[in-house]
Amino acid sequence: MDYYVITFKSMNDALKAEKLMMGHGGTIIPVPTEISADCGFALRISSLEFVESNVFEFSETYEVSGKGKNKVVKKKDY
Amino acid sequence: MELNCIGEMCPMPVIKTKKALQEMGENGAITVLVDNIEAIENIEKMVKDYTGCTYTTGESGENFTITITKGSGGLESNAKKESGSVVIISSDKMGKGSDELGETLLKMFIYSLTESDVLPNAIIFYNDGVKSTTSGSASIESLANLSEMGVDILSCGACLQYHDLTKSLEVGRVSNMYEISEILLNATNVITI
Repeated sequence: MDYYVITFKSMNDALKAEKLMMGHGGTIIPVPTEISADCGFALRISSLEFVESNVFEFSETYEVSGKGKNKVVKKKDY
Repeated sequence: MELNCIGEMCPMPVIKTKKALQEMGENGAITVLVDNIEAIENIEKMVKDYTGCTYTTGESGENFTITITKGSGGLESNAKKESGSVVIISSDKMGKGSDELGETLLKMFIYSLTESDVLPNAIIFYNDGVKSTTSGSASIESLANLSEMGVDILSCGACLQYHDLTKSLEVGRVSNMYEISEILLNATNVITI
């Protein structure tokens, strides 16, 4: 696993989460096509510490490894 | 022969030096005087592209010098390599409308390049685009990754100077309009953002 991708209900939620997580290595990215074909915002982050303590609202958490054609995306079950 | 380019903005020192070299006889030498190190770097780049020329650089007070000796082979350009795709970024935003959305879109575009299987040969930043390659930019990490993958990251030197960002460049290298136009003319595909 290389990093986590967090998805959101709305673009505004994503932008809000990015502002909170900027100092903690969070960055906004396009939602990987493996998750959804829609154009949308997601948060890429290396640790789930803040996500799991519900600092911001989000929909799903995915574990991502590899890149390009070798990218593997797995939904995290709670 | 001496060429005084004090106070001249990029790319004038490069153009004047090239012209002087073209007009000069075999084995002639020229010393160019400039007031900024970027001009020296750009002249070095130009000279390296030509066969048979050698050069030395130096300092003269607060100014910089480069002395070039023209080889007997004359000014024949080294074989030009195909430039492939070139991406141009001329703003700190992608598209028109909301500033916040535009900045986020540009950041995501640059990030998405790092995840792509097909990479451009070069990304050229000019005008407000240079805000992406300098301190405070949210795209530094993505651009550093692209640079490591072999993508040439170029920022227009005059644009950095205009925005007072020359000392803030964090990723890639400084270029000039002379090199930028050459890259564009040799590119098989130019993508303007």
